[in-house]
Amino acid sequence: MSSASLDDITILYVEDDKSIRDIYSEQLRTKVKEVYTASNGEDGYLKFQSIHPDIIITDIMMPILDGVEMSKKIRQDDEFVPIIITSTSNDRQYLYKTLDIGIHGYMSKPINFNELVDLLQSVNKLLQLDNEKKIHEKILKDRFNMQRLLV
Amino acid sequence: MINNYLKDMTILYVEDDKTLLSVYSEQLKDKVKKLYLAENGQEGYEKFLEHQPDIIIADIMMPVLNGVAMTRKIRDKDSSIPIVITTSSDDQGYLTDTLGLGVQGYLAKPVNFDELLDLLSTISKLIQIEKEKTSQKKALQEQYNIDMLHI
Repeated sequence: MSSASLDDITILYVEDDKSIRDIYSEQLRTKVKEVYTASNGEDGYLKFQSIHPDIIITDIMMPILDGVEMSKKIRQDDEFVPIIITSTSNDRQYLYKTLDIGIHGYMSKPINFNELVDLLQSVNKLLQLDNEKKIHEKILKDRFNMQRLLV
Repeated sequence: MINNYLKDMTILYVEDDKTLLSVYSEQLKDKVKKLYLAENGQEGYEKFLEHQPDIIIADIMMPVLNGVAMTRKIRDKDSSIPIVITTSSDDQGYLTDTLGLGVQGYLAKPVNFDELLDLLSTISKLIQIEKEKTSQKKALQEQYNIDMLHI
């Protein structure tokens, strides 16, 4: 699978377990431009609204608002932002609830960091392709539209 | 700007003026993978069905079946194939009939060949981006789906 550099992306990492959050956010900071963290779904949703991260990584089981409900709320605001779900075997029964939300990838906990980076690179490649698509569609719209020919 | 993607494209060029058809096809044929020609909309439609080109270039005013009617028939079969319309000032009355038909680009006649190459290159790039997006999405779905977590 083709990959893309993560240097320019911002990530929102939503995880209620502080030790896990600290470990992975530290490691992620060595790979991406910026990592924002949140400790529950409500906090995650508020940070999503203020930061507009490129990619969201979220746990499932969390207090106040869980990962499924947070993802649903985010999808109401943003149809496209990639969401990655991390889950333990105990959360698996909740996973099917995410099927219609448009999740880009699922990872088992404990997370293998290299696998997470691979997944982020693949998702980022899709984001880059979307950006390139927008640029080229704009060229068509600006330079080769019908209005230009109508006198 | 010409890109490398254009040379992988098959193109159908539909134009009833034999002089124009031969002048532009002579210049185009070395820039693309394969060039098919048609002299009216009906022939164009038949060649579209037979060859399934990547991009179609069509004049508006043509005998038997004009470019607008041909585009409409093609859209019934294929909602996404890129179609480029070339038009002289006399055809302007027909231009708005192509609204809603998903035409990717419009060029004034006499067609500036560099402009035509620019337009075709931009469309080729968009086709390439779509291909990459599809394969990238497929790879994500295969590698990071819920099933992978053995629910």
